[in-house]
Amino acid sequence: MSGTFSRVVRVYRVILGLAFAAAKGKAVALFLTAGIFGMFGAVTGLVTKLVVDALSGGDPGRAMGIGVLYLVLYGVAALMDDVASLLQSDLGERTSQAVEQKLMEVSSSAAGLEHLERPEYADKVKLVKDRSFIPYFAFTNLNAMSSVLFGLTAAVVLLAFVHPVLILLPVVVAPGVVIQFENYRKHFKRHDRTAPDERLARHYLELATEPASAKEVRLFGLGPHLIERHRKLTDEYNGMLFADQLRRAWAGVAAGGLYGAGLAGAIGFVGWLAIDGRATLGDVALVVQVARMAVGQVQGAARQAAWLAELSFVGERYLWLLEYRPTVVVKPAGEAAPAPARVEAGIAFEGVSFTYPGTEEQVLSDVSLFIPAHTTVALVGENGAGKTSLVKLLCRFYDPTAGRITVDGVDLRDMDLDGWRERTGAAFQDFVHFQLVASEAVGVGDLPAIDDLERVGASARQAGADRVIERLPGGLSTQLGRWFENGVDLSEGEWQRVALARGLMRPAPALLVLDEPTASLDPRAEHEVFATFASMARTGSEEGPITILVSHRFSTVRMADMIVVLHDGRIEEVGSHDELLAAGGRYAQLFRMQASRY
Amino acid sequence: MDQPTPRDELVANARGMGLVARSAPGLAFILLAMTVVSGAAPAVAVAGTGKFLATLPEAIAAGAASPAGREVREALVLIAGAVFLSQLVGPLQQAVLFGLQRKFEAYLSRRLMTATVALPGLAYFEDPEFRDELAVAHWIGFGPVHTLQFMVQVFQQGAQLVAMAAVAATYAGWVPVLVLLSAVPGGVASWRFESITGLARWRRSEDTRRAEYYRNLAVTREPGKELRIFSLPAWARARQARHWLAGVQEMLALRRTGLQWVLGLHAVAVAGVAVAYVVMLRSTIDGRTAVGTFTAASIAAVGLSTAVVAMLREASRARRSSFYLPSAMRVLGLAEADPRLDLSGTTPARRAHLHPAQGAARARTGIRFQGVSFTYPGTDRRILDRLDLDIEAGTSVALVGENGAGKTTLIKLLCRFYDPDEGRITVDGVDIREFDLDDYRSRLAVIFQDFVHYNLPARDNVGFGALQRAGDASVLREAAARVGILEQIEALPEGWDTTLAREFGGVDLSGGEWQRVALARAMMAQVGRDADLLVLDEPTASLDVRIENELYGHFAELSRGKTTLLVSHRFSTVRMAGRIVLVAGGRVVEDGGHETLIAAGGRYAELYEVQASHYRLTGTLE
Repeated sequence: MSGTFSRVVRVYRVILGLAFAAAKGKAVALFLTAGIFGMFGAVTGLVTKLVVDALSGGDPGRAMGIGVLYLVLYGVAALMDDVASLLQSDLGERTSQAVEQKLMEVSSSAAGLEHLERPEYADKVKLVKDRSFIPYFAFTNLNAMSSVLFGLTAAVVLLAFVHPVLILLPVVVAPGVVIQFENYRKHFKRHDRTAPDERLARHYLELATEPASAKEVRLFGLGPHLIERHRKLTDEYNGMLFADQLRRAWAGVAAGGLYGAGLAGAIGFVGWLAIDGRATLGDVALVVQVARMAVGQVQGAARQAAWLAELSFVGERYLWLLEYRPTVVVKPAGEAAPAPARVEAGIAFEGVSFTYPGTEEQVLSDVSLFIPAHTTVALVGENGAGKTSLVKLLCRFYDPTAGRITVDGVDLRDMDLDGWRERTGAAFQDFVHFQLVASEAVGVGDLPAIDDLERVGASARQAGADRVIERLPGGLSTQLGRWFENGVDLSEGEWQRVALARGLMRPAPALLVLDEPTASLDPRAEHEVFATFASMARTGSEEGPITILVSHRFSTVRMADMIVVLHDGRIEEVGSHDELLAAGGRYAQLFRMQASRY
Repeated sequence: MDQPTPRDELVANARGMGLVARSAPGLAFILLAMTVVSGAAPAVAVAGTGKFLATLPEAIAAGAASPAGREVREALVLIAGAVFLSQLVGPLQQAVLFGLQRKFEAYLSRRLMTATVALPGLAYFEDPEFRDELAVAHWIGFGPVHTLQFMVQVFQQGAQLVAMAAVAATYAGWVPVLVLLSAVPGGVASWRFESITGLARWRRSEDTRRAEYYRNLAVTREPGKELRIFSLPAWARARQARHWLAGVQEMLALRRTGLQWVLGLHAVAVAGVAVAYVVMLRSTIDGRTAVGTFTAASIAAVGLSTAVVAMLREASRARRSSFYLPSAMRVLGLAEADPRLDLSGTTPARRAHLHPAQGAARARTGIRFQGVSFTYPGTDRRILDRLDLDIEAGTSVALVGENGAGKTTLIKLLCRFYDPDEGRITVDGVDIREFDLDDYRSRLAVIFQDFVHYNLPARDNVGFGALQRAGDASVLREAAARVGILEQIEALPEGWDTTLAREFGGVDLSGGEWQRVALARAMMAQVGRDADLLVLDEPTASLDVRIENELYGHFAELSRGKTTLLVSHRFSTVRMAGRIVLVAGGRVVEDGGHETLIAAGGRYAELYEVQASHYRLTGTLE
């Protein structure tokens, strides 16, 4: 529990740090005004008392003086409230934005992919992403707390001056606070439990309304069925949440009773004191105003405190991300070996084994392989054989569990990673459908050249994406995808060519990774793409990159200089097409199976 | 989306309230009833406090037993009672509001689903404006409830305002009038301020969405690999910052200038209160007014001014979400207003004629495209150009052609997601526009290239192909067995009940497994509802050699007696069909058996050669 508390404090420190970094002056001004505001209610009560007492005591000059002073204070406070509410929204926006930037920085600066791919980590990252409004709440929460604290303190002091017994007021209503706090907390908790069902309801809604599923919904007549499921599911969890809320409302009613009793008791008590001559008329006016305010603030405190429960939940995960130490540790540029401009000797896998963090199964076992410079290597194997994992290690999205990967004898872990990636071009099976203008969707493959339309055009031609772009209404400046205004959606094959063009943007890559790059292409396009790669690899074999190709298609595979057959995480065969065919092993068997149908 | 006029907003809000009432009539009524009680109670408390303060000096002077003393006690009872009542009703009212809000949100989602699935074709999905409106409608959920909540508040605060005005008026009638009038300019300024800044943000919502897009590039899994390989993190951050700023800049600037107006006009309100206060105080000092009256009236006057300004500010905030309401309401009414697919061809009388009793024999003559031309709405490239194609009942045809040749479009027209611009498509001699749409579609078993990954149990992923038989385990098993995925499904941790999505607490499938699940769904349509037209768009794209080979073995059985249309880039797959049709430039350019087309040496032969040459062996296998 105290551990949780200290974590919450740390969450606040981080958020405050960001708020201050976003706008220091504003943040300070805001917290001060929040505190002053909190006390303003008490001040009003005090002033009323003084004026009334002066009037009753026959001191008109004093009454007018205090009255005017009060009006000035009132005016200042009212106008400051306007300024403060503006400051609050302004600073809130800036803090949220600072948090977003921090989140992007932390998540994307991790060189590896573990935090995104490992389910239990991915859940945390997703939660932080989906609730990025929470830091903003933390900020307003803090503000409100500051107001409540100052206000309540001032109120208690004033009440104590009138009569010490009145200090009991906050004590009397305390059980109500506990009840309310528990109420809110349970409410948040219950919400966490219905969250999976709510996501499912959301999925039904999306299936029925989004373009991606529109065809099947119509063809299979799923509409009414999905609506009915949505109704049943939402009725169920909403009914439960509502019943829960109602049940708890009675606890709220009890708390309300306590507040009411405390309030009426305080006013009645001071009224009795006044009639008894032990309190002035001004004291009564003070208590009437301050007691109500105090009770209101106590209620507010309960609500704010409950937010803490929610905040600590999200905050935990946020802190986790901030403190996340990726397993892929990057050496600082000074200590790392510079990445080679081109591979001179080759890339070697030396006894490489790999198990995804958090899992048991070894996906690569003792893989040793030497890939000479300027060769094209095809990785072959059935689903789950370890092809993609091998590629991920080569891109250093993960580090091997055992063994090492070297480039010209230098361990990849000792190499300047940014430099190495700058010399890597890649196209993946699950490529990104960048919702950017066409030139950028290609150009991000080599950021320094993103505006160099000539190079973008050249890459597009190499990948056969030029014909896709020609057909677009605005050519290279057409917005791609349907997410944004005037966006043009492409077919899967067209998207794939754009992804390939992007993979070819690096000016003189040392490594080119093509993980199933042609699944959606027609035969002619596929042929052109292969021809391009083959020529890239061979033109002046001094310059060509090492090309790693993953494919199920043997038509592609056979073009490689070297074919590596993986099975159950181990290398089963290595050789050229002709060699492997002659060997009559797994490769020959699979190849014949496909070839027999042509 | 066009900027809505205030009238649009008003109408949309009124319709929104109507929807709220319809979503849960009982709760809505209870809420209103509670509002009356909870609104009246604080007003009574205010009046009671006024009475208490005004009478207390007299009671002190005359003693507790005097009539004034009795009045003070009565006032106290009134305050206590009112505070109790509002504290009691408050939590219950919150609970009811919560329930109503949830119910309404679910109801609105369903209305949205109903409106969307009622659109028979796909033309709307090509329309960017519709997509925007749909996206907005998705998250508008709370809008009308906010409005309702606000109205509840207005009622409660309104009652308090009246009570405060009444107490202030115990000094003189002009006091509340002055306070109210002087508060109006500040309130109006707040209202203008909120709507101007809100609109500024609304206008730049595209930038805000882009900022979110770049954020997601950096923090989600899917783009993770490319983001790192291409060193994009800093770039994504810079883009996010740029669009965030573009999204809020105008609003922030307007806020700053607007604030001066708000401050200026709010100062008028303060001046109004100050004048009233000083006059009252003066008159009390001069002995013309009782101290008690001053105390009660001055507290009420200050409270009145603060409350009026706060209420108007609330009102303007409530308006923020209502900018979006008109477009959301428009989506709900689309299907009736303009379905963009003319369904008038099917009169009930004709339908009866075309569909005699279930199972009655139809003359099956197959599918026929006659001079079909088609251009997607909102574009000007003609995808199909007077295309003619006959597919005899019970035969298989493979469509081949390059990316963008129009193969998938042809399938979409066959499914009647669009109607041709020219020409007609007939099935068994009848224009498909004349069939009842649902009946017609139930004859089709289709796997689309971009099939859906339902984040639902395997049972649904297959069963959705024929809902009416989805409860029948033997039908499900048969559909899965036909495409060789039965064993894998039954080996899943919870068998058929395993959810096929890790983020929904289930398991993830590989691309090839998904494709077979989608194929099984098409088979389900065939087995479960006797669909006699089979359409397979790229059914083998992600399958590895071994599995494709198995499927090849099953194909004859899958398509037996069915009219089958097959689209594929893989010629190994294409050869499953007896007849091959090559589409280019929106027309059929070659048509015949594999051997015939190869012998003809045309485009097909050339494309085939390109692919097959990779498999040709130097003498070892022929």
